[in-house]
Amino acid sequence: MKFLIALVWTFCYASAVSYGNWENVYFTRTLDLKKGYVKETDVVQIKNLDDKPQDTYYFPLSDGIGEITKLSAFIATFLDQVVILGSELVEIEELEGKALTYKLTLPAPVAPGSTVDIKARYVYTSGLSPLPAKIEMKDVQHILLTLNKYAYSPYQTNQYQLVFTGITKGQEMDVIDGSDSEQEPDNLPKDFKPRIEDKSLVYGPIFESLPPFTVKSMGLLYEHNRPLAKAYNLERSIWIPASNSDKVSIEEYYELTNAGAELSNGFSRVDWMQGRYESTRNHWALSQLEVKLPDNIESEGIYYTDKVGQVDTSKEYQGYLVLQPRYPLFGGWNYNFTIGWYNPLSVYLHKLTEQEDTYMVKFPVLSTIQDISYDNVKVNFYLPEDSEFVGVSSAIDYESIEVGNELSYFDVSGGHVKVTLTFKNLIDDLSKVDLFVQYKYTAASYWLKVFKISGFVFTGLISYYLLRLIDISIEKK
Amino acid sequence: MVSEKKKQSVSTSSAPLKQKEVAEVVPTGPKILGVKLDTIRLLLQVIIFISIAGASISSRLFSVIRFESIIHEFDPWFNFRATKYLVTHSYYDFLNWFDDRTWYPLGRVTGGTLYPGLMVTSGVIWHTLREWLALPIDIRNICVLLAPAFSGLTAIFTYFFTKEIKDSNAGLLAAIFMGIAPGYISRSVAGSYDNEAIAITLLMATFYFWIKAMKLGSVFYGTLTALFYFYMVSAWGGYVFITNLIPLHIFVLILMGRYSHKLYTAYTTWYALGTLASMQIPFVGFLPIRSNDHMAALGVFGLLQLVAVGDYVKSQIPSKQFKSFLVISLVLTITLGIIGLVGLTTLGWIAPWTGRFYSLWDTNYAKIHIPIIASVSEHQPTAWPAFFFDTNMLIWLFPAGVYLCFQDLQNEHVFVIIYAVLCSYFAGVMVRLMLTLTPIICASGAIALSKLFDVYLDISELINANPEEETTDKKKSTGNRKANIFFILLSKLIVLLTFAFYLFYFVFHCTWVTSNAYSSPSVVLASKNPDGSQHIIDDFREAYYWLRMNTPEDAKVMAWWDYGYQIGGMADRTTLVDNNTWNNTHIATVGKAMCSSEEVSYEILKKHDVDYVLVIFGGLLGYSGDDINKFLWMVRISEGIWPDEVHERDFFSERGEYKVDSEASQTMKDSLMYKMSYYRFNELYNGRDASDRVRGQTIPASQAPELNVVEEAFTSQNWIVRLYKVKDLDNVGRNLHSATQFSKTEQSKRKRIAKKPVIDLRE
Repeated sequence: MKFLIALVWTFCYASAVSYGNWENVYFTRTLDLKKGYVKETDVVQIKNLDDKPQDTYYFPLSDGIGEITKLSAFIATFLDQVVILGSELVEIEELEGKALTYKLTLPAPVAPGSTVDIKARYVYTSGLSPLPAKIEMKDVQHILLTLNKYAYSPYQTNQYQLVFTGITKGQEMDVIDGSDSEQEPDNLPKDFKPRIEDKSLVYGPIFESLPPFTVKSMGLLYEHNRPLAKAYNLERSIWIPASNSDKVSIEEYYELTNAGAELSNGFSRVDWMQGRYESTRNHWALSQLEVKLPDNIESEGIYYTDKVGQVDTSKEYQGYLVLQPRYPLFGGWNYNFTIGWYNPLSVYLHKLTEQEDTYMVKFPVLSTIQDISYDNVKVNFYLPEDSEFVGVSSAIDYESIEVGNELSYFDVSGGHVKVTLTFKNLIDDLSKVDLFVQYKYTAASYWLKVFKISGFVFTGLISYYLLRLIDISIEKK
Repeated sequence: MVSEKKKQSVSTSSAPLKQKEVAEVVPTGPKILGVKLDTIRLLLQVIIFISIAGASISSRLFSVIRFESIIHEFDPWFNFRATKYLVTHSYYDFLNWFDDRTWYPLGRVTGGTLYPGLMVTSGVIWHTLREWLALPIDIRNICVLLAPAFSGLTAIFTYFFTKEIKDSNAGLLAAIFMGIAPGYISRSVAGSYDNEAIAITLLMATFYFWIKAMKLGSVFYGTLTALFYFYMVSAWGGYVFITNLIPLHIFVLILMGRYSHKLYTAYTTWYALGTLASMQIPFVGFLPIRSNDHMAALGVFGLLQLVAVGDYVKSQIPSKQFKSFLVISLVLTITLGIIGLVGLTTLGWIAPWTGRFYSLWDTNYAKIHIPIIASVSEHQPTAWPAFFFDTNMLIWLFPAGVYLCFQDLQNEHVFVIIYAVLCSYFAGVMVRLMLTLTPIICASGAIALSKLFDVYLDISELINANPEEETTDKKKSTGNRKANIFFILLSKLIVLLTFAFYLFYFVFHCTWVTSNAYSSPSVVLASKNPDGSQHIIDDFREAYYWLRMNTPEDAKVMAWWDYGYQIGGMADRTTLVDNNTWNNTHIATVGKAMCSSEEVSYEILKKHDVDYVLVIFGGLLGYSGDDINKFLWMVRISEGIWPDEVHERDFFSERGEYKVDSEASQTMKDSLMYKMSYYRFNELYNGRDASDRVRGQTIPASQAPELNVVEEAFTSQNWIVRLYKVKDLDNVGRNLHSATQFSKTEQSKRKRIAKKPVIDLRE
């Protein structure tokens, strides 16, 4: 009976979109909840049921209830070898609002009946919310993760396992959600119960076959006494000097918040002082930020300011810049600030030998605060005035790129060339990703600028001298 | 006439411009090492000027080095905010600026009630640097560094001013004194972005041009005087000082029988142009012809016309007839003048004397009638040590300089004397007027000192003595002369070394005062760590930034008026009252809310839509400028409006002392201010008696205050700023007192309930 329903389902869907003919031999989801976002690793063994070789596999994120709205990064590889599979986000009408879907293209078609192991890793920053939403300062924060308990695959899954790691205490909860009425609970496995195994919470594996697009929303309430740091906006500016001074200025403007639980009462300093929460790392108020400074090179001239001036509570410690906001951030509290420093440029700049006057700079997309997610990130490269932007390459997708000009100090013609890359939903781990910007800057444009500035100064002095020669006195000599 | 001209050119011979002329007249001037003496003098002067400007600017940068580039204190925050408004909006928007984020719910016609000179100056600098020189400097840095930059200009104008009085030697001394005198530095350190920062420069410029105009009878200089007067009017309310000083100068000169056409030309040019120009400032408007502060200038203008007519008549008719003409016209003028003045005042055409004006003459006036003026610390009479502190040795050179002016009583010396006398008095009445006294102290001190140096540095006597000695060739008298020369040399050396020491000490003192007393931003406090390093106490900005980041943008914050500008500038939230104390009733309302019991306060808070209440509490840290110490002023000001409801006496203990400990009066303990200051303060001491480090009193744990109508929203790290959120009306219509009591008793019960699982868990 079940099989029939499943078949009908498959048929219905297949009629709308052709997903190909695959079967998931096993499907293991591992959710890492150590940080303030979800890192999910799905390992799937897929089997070609078709009679022809196939190379296209559809992989909707394990969602189905529209919880994963802020996807940060997605990468699919083979399980046993580092071969990145071609992945493309596709829009499928029937999955609209339910799950983001990737179309994976295998490097070589899979022969009928044979299997291949795929590993998909992705990170999302949505789906987490504190429960209860308002707690007292001394309470422990609990986070509710809303997710689909099963795999949301267009194919039938024969064996399924769900693992949560990085949590100390957790419990499953029902989520009242009207959207999953299509799936009757009775066609789902009955005894899909968790157990604790090697510091993680493990469901399954079960060996009953799951029909395609199985949805059962579930809540996982777990203890997470760390802040959910989130930056609404980050504007990272990299100023590349025109002259050969070996200094690049990096400035980052954060609009920070804590997405965790709010205080149920007003902030009481007495409680805060008596609880000594500031010195413990294990509290859900965000009272300390650790910014990773560039490795192995000296960062000098570090400053930390906000809109009312300098903040004195920062120190450099073992390659990290440790910042204290002016006040601890409880859930819903905001804090905007700016940090900046200088690095030697030679580490980042490379002059291309094959092309004349062409330079390449390499900078990480983030120099990030630890354990944080970013909604919007703008990376601005300020190239020298009159330089020519050639191109950019990035390992992760950017939303948009914009090339413009901005007038800055001693800009005598168009202004610095400003290249802005916009990213969405980044996380701290992506700070390893580098951006490469290529630009052309001739010695002629450098000297032109020098002569222009000195020309202005000279003209000023000469005109002053000439004006002095004019006799404006009205008295007779 | 001719002789006077000659004198003129001699006395100004060292000015760089005139230098050329002199050099042309005498092509082979004295030379040293083949370089013309005048060239060397010019070079030295330029170097000295650069050094003076360098010294005056760099000593004002202590605050930036010790702390950071930040706007200081209270009023500068408003000026800064206004400047930001100016550079982000158009100039006309700025003049028509109605600010609904202050004086809620009244608002303030800010554009029409400020002196725009300061903001326009920095706006112009900002635009020039940005658009012409490709230097997009942050407006904050321009505001912070404006005062030091102008102090360099002040020194230069003081040089020119003093040069007109004596000579360029005195001028240079005056310039260096002006550059580093603490009396002026106190209002012009980097970050002290206040009207006075540029006003003193303009004051000296106006006076310099006035002396010049009066000396030469020049329309050109009269116009320049008017121009700088206009700039001054646009920048500072203290322009009234000029408006009265120049007429007084003329008046005294007329009384001394020194009327001349030059005076007439200079004064009428200045008055006509200056008055018309000053009326272009919206805040001034028609005041110059209506307010009594300005009547003296108008009166002298009229008088000058009469004197001019009299002068003309005198030259036309015999002296006998002239006497009767004089008597009759004098009587007529005086009676008409008085009748006119009284009549216009009673009709309301011209404004009555303002309270601030009265408090200038009667130091007790404000204390009795206008507590709000008396409550401002800078309106207090100056303590005597302050004179020494602010001017050091100049304070005793000052009378000597004035005395020397009497010796050589030219018209300009009369000016110096009048300025000195008037300002000495004013500076004694109000601390802040120390600022206007400082320039004349510097000038007079420089005159005295340079006179002294003129005498004691003059070694021509010794050089001239030598050839005589050789020609006479008498051994006895040679011995005598040698002894004589020795004593002359000795006396000169002693005097010179003494004054060299004083000068050295003066520089030392000024630097010390500047770095220790006048360089604190007061927004940021500094203390020392045990190891001697600086520890920053940043509570104000912490709390203001919290307000800015975590409250709705239209939240209304009630605080005592001292903090109004800072809240507007740093927290960017709407305030009820601020440092522009234009509405006494509104301030009294806030005072009443602070000093009344919770029920009364709550009504006021709700009527004014207050969301947050901010109090400053120094009890934990020992910060003495807190609200409990200012509390009596709040009481007094509100008592002025509601004498039936607020009584100052109720806030004192049985024995008439101002106490916050167990002896505190019930009214005191019930006041919202007391409660908000000490709320949960005892818990910091684990429930024992808490000690207030400002007042050295203990707050008994048994009288720990309870709050019903407000709840704690935020307290800064050292408890200096405490923020309370005003509770909403209870949604079941209870009064807030019983609601709070109810929830307190409920809390323990609720905790037990919470243990039951609310949601179905399926682990």
